[in-house]
Order: sequence, then structure tokens, then C-alpha cells
Amino acid sequence: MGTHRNHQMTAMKTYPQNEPVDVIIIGTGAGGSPVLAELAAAGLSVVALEAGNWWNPATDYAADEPHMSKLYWLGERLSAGDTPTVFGANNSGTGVGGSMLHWGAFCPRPDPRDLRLHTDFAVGHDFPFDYATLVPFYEEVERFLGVSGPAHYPWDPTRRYPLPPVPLNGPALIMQRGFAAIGVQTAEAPIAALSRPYAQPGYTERPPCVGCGYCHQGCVFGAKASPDITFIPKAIAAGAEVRANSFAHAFERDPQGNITAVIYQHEDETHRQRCRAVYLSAGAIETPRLLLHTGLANSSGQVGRNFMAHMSTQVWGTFDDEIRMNKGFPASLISEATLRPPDADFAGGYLTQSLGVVPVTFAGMVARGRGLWGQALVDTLTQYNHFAGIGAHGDCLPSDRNFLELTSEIDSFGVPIPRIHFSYGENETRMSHHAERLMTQAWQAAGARDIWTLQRSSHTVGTCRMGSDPATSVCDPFGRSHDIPNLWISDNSTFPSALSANPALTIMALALRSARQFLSVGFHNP
Amino acid sequence: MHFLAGSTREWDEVVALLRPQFRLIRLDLPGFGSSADVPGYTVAEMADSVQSAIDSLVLTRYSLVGHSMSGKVALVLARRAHDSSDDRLAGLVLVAPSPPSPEPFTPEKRSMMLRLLGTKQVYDDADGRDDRTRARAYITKNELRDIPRVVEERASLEVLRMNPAAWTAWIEHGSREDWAARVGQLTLPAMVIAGEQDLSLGPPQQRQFTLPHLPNGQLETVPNCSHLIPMERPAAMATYLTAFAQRLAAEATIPAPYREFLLSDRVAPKTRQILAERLIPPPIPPDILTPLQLETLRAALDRIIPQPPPALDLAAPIVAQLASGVGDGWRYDVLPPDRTAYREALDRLAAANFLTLTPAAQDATLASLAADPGSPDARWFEDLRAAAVTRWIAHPATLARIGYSGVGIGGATTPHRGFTSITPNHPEPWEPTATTK
Repeated sequence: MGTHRNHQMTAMKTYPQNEPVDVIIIGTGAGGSPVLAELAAAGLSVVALEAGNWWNPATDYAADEPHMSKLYWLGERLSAGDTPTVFGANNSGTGVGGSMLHWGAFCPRPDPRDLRLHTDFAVGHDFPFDYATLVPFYEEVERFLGVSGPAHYPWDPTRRYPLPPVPLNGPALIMQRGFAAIGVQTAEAPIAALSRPYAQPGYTERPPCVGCGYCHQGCVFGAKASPDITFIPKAIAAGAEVRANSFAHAFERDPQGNITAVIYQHEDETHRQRCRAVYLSAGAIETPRLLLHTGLANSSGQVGRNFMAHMSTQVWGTFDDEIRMNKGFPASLISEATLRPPDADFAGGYLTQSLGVVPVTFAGMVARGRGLWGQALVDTLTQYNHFAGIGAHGDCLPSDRNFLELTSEIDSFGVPIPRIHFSYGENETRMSHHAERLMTQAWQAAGARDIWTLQRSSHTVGTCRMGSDPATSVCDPFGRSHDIPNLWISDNSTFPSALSANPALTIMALALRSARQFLSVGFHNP
Repeated sequence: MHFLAGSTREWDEVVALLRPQFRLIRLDLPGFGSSADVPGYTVAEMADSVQSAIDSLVLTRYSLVGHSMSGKVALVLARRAHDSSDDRLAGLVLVAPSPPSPEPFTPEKRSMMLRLLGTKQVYDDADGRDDRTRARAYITKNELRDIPRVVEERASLEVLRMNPAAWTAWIEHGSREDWAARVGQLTLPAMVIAGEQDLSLGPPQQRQFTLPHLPNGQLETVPNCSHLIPMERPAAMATYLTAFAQRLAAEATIPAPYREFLLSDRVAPKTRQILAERLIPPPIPPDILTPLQLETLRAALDRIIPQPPPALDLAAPIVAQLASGVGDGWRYDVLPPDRTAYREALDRLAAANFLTLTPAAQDATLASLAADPGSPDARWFEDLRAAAVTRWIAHPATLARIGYSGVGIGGATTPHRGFTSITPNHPEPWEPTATTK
């Protein structure tokens, strides 16, 4: 624990700090780790700086939620606005592998229409390319991670998943029943956890999911795809170096403005690694935070703007059956039937998923979101084994009201902590009401009693959006900064709109696409 | 119980430290100390002797503490208690124990030891040493051990009290008896304490020979200490025993079926260790909250999570977290940093005489905090509810109450992993059930 070095692979290449490496990648999550593997495989000298630890799941993970909060980004963030969004466990990770160490591995692709929201609805912002551009990258990521899913995906007949679906657990079976009763189609969810043993060039065989239910606390068994057991070993085998516990906080630049070195803290010491290019892959909070702190790449004024989070309203109910929602893959059923509901009074749409959560998470939701306390709280939680939930993830429109800024509070690295303003607009509120109605009907039809709604938002998106126009975007459609030619961004901050799907798959697809572009033009000035 | 050649008087200093808190029963094994004339030197006979002494007392719940030679006897007694479903034995503390397998003596060491104290010699031995000198050499290991003079003198006299036949029997037979297979694995809570400088039965030997028998055993290493830990480091010894007793008392608050589940191989060792540590509330650091703030916090927590006695201490871990400065990665913008937010909110509650209100009036006061959604009061009360419920539900006593099976998913080294039956109403046979409806 607390190590800088890899616990398993002693043969990691190391690079001297005073010689420039080709590329430094800041962050090892969904955005950084695919770039690391791609660039290393192409023969570039690459070093990844990761703020968190390099955990060994076999010895460092436990079936205990408070203990596993060590996987969350625990640096303070201020949640402002009318519907403040929650950080930490909700969406932010630390450690080699980033927040994918505790991601849910619920892995749908976005709907093709989600990328052209402005074209279709005259609101929001289109992606600078279409869905077909991303399909080969989605397929590549799904194959490399080993995504399990149905043989025939109802909403995309062309799609083929490399592995059969994981088994449906209690909440999934109930959702299947409830949705069937109200005439809404469901399918086994695309899950980045293995239903069979699986290996790929770059990593050794991983075992199938045992349905332990602790995806959000880190997979001790290696069945869930996280970068530390997929992209990172591939990158290291190809010659990449990963430096854990290394928090980047400053840059050095040459007279032309190109970045020549990254300054980072490692174990109370300041280090300086020289480089020819930098990938910023710290996520939609830390990426803009670092850019605002250093004052870089912001001629557009767009850094930190257009923060988005998914409308993630949930509906819960109590059942006579003993469900034990902690068992099995937590969200094993999906419906994409509401991506463009015919009766919608909003732009875009949402997907739904079955939900099982472990007790501390559940207790926090009941105490915060349902507002219970006293005997009512105790009596509710005591029935833990009888709960099941259902949740939505819906698109979110970019808004001037929603942005990240730096505060006057300073963290232990001397960097100002961020304040994130987030308020639902009319579109998110209407979509949430629609989802609440639908899910409540399904839960009534499934036989739930004491049904209640949890209002929440999830995922961090936007804040450094990509686009062709340097006046209105931070980076180009491949993630390259308009202002600084040797600075690239690969993470969820580049999304111009939120999409309705969970973001990790798209982050990885965009990362591969960006890395290929870097390999062809990265060392040429635009 | 004591080491070879010694007596239970080796515990005098430790007993003096522990006596106010604990009932302590001291036993000399056959052939030693006050039992010098008692026959029966095999491991089984020594175990019989201890068992009959225990049975003559009216004990409902006890732990065995065995040092060195008597550690092996304690392991045999624990095996017997398990096999006869005798649940009075709650735990084992083994101090530099002889392992259940044959003790790895070299032939040279065996014959040297037999020469040293195997017969009473009125006259000087070949090296010109009398019995007293040789007893002293044995206790101090030729002055290598750090034992106060007065303690050494008492211990040397105890050595001279023993029946030399018992000494010889242990060296030639008892220490060679192989109980490893018969002892097998014992799941009762155990602590193994070893001296860092003990070359024969130190931490590496305990890890190799003793701990494999004790899946719920914890190894404690005493720094700068050799083999006679109770006499060398009585204060540390007392601290370890107190901590172990605290662990047992805390574990006793968990219903027996769930306690056995937690001790079973369904639960990964790391998960078990985390849950065991959570049983004992952390110390409340000073200077975080005033006594009035702390008392107000406790009163508010009692309304948020009403608990029948014995109530879990929810305040201690909350204050400890405030002291640590590590939060949960975010806070509402309308609130100051956590520590300040708690102090200010608790001061306001105290100023409203929260402590003197009736429970119903306390509830009304808390409800008024939530009256204006999004206000600092409402946000702080939300944070407090979340903090309270997190501490409450993560406690093993609550996990037992709700019949939670998830901690039984195993880990990298356990024989079982995850679940095989995940459909509703089809629990696996090992899954615990809720204790309240």
C-alpha cells in the first residue's frame, strides 16, 4: 500500500526525469489508460502520472464499503446550485485505474441520436462527428474489455457482444416482470464484467464474475474490467511507466507556449518530468481544475463551462420476497425503450436499469434522499433484504448556469479546490418526472409496496468541450488543445453533450481514436 | 499458565496490572511450581489437569492464556472444547507458544537442557555452577534477557521448585508429541504474542507453525523482547491482554450465529479484520468538540438512530473522522468545512436547550432543521443523518440484525467466492437471516 511501484510487474520500464519522454499522461482512468497503451504499443516513451495508489485487489480490497472509500477521490469539492451533484463515491476515483476501479461496469453505447441532439431538437450541442465514426472504437473496446451482453440487442440488431450476458439477479428479475406488465421492452444489460474466462493480447486470463455485488467497491476477483488489469498491463508490457501517488499541479512551457515539463508531488517531494507532449486525462473535474489553476488552454473561456451530470432518478420499493439485492451483478437488466419516448415533453431521452446496492450506500440514500430518521429510518433499513430498485440515466443539456470554478480554499498541494454549480433545467426536470412515472408504474405492476423516489444526478461530463471552432471549444474533435499544440485532453470533459449512456465506454472509445490521431499528427504543428 | 520450569508466578507483575479489571485464575501444570508433586507430564495429562481445575470453578466464559510449553496445552484444550461443543472457552492467548507440532529442538540443545536442569545437583556441575546459578542462567539466558533482578530471583527459585522429572519428560517427550493434525484449525478468536528477539519461538516460527491452526488469530510482536515476555515486558503484556478481552467483549455483542458466520471461511481475512476493528469505538480525540457539543451530538444521534441498550457508539467514529480531516470528497457549498459545520450546528442546538428537551421536543427541533430545504441547517442535518446511518449499518451488530450476507463473498484466498444462487427466496444454506422482522 502507498507504493509508487507496481505490485505485480517488476519488469516495468522507467524513464529518467531529466530526459524528455515523448508523452506524459495525467490520469490512468478510462481516458488516460487506453492512450497509454496505444502510444506505448506504437513505441513511444510514455509515463503516466496517477494521483492515487497502486492497489493490489487481492490484498487491499475487502467486502466493506467504508474501507473501500479509499478508491474514491476524497479531495474536497463544493457542490453548489439548485440540484447540487454529489462527488466522491458517486463518480470520482483515485488509484491506478482511476474511477473505473469502482465503476459499475454498466456499459451501454449511447444512442446514435444522442450525438446530434441540436440537429434533432434545436437545443444542446452536437458532437463534432456521428455515431458511425465511433462504432469501430466501441467494438474494439468491448472486445478488449470483454463485455457481456445479449446475443440480440433489441435496440441495435447489428450489435454483437463478445460474451454472453451475466445472470439476472433479484432486482433484474423484478424489473423484467414489471416492465413486461406495462409493455416496455427490456434486455440483459451490456456489462463489462466477464461471463466466461477471458484473455486478450496484453493481459492474462481473467475469471468470470461470481456475482459478489461489490463492483462499486473494487472487484477483488478481476472479473470486472478496470484499467489496472486491462489497459495498464498492456501498456507496461509495451514499455510504459506508471507513477502512482503522483499529483500533477503545474507545467513548464517553452517560448512558443508548448509544454516542456510536468511538475508533480510525490511523497512530499516536488518532481519535474520533461516531455514532448502531454495528455490531460484527469476527468471532468480535475482536468478543468488544473487548467484553470495554471491558466492554460482557455482562450475560448470554455474551460470549466457546461458542466453536465446525468439525470439519474431512481425508484425503490419493498417486496414480500426476500430479494437480497446485494447478490449478483448489481445492474443486470436494461431498457433503452425510453430513449425517445413518444409522449416526451423534453429533448433527448433516458435509459433504465435494475438496481441492487450494498447496505451503506442504501442507508445513505434513505437517510439523505428519502429524508427519513428516527424509528422510521431504522425500520426501513432493517428490511434491507426486501428492497429492489430501478434507475434512469438521462441526457443533460449544457447550460451557462452549470460550471466549475476555483475557490479561495486551498488543498494540501496548494491548489484551489473547485466549486461545481449544477441546477437542473426544465429539460432535466421534465425528463426526471417522466422517468419517475414510468418506473413507479413498473414497480407497482411488479408488486412493490412503499414505493419512493430518489432524486439524484450522476457522472461528470463536459467542462472542456471539443469542437472545430476555437472560439467556442477547448479542444479539437480529437482532443487536441486549440491553444497549445502539444496538449491533448482525453476524458469525459471533452463531451459537448452528456449522452444518455454511462460515459466510460465512450471515454475509452474517444481515447483510442485520439491516440491514433496523435500517432499520425501529434508531433506536427497543426 | 506458565513456561517450562517456571510457575504461574511469572505473571505476578501482569496480574497486578490487570487485577482490578479481570478475574484471573492461575494454574501450575503438573510437576511445576505449587504442583511440583502432581504426576502426569504428557500433553494430554497436563490438559486433563487444567480441565479439571477449570471444571471445579463455576466459569461461564473464559479465555486460556498459555505461555511457551503451556501454549501447546491450551491448543489441545481448545480442540477438546470445540469437539465437545463446550462454548465456555471464548478465546486463546498464546504467548510465544510451543507449536502443536514437535518443537524444533536440535539434539545438542536437548542434551544441553537435560544436563542443565534434569537432575537436582547439590554440588557444582562440571562448569562449577550450582543449581541456583544454573536456574539464573536459564531465566536470563545467560544475562541476555532484560528481567529485573527481583523478578529473576523469584523466577529462579520457582525453577528450583519444579520436579526435575517433569523437565525431563517435557524435553524428551512432551515437546516431541505431534498434535498438529489433531489440533487442526480452530476458529475461536486468538492472539499470538511473540518476542521480536526470541530466536526459537519468535514471530517467524509462530507464523509458520502456530498461526496456520488459528484462522482468527492475530500475531502481535513485542519489540526488544525475548522469550519470557510476561517478566520482560509486563506492561505491554497487560495491554495486549486488555485489548484481547475488549475484542472478545465486543464480539460477544454479535449474535452467536452471525459471529460464527463472520469467523467462517466465507469471510475474507481482511474483511473480518476490518469488521473486528469496527467493534471497538475509536478514542474520541480532544479539541474537536467541547464536552457540551459532544453531549449534544450524542443526543441528536439518539433521535436519528434510536437504539435499545447496549447502544452502538455512533459519535466516536464521527468525531474521529472529523479529527482525521479526511471527508467523503465533497460538501454542500452552503456549509463551511465539516468540523466548523458540526461545531456551529451543535452550538445552535445546545443554545436551544436541546439536551433538556423531551424526546418529542427534540424531534420537533430536528424536524425544524429540515424545514427549509437547501438551507445550511437542512444540509447539515442531512449530512448528520448520513454520517449516523453509515456508522450504524456498517457495524457488525447491525449487519447481523438485517441478516446481511454480502460480507461472505470471500476473497482472493478463500475457498468460496461470491454467490451461486441469486434469485429471490433462494438463499444459500450459509447465508445469515435477519434477527428482526
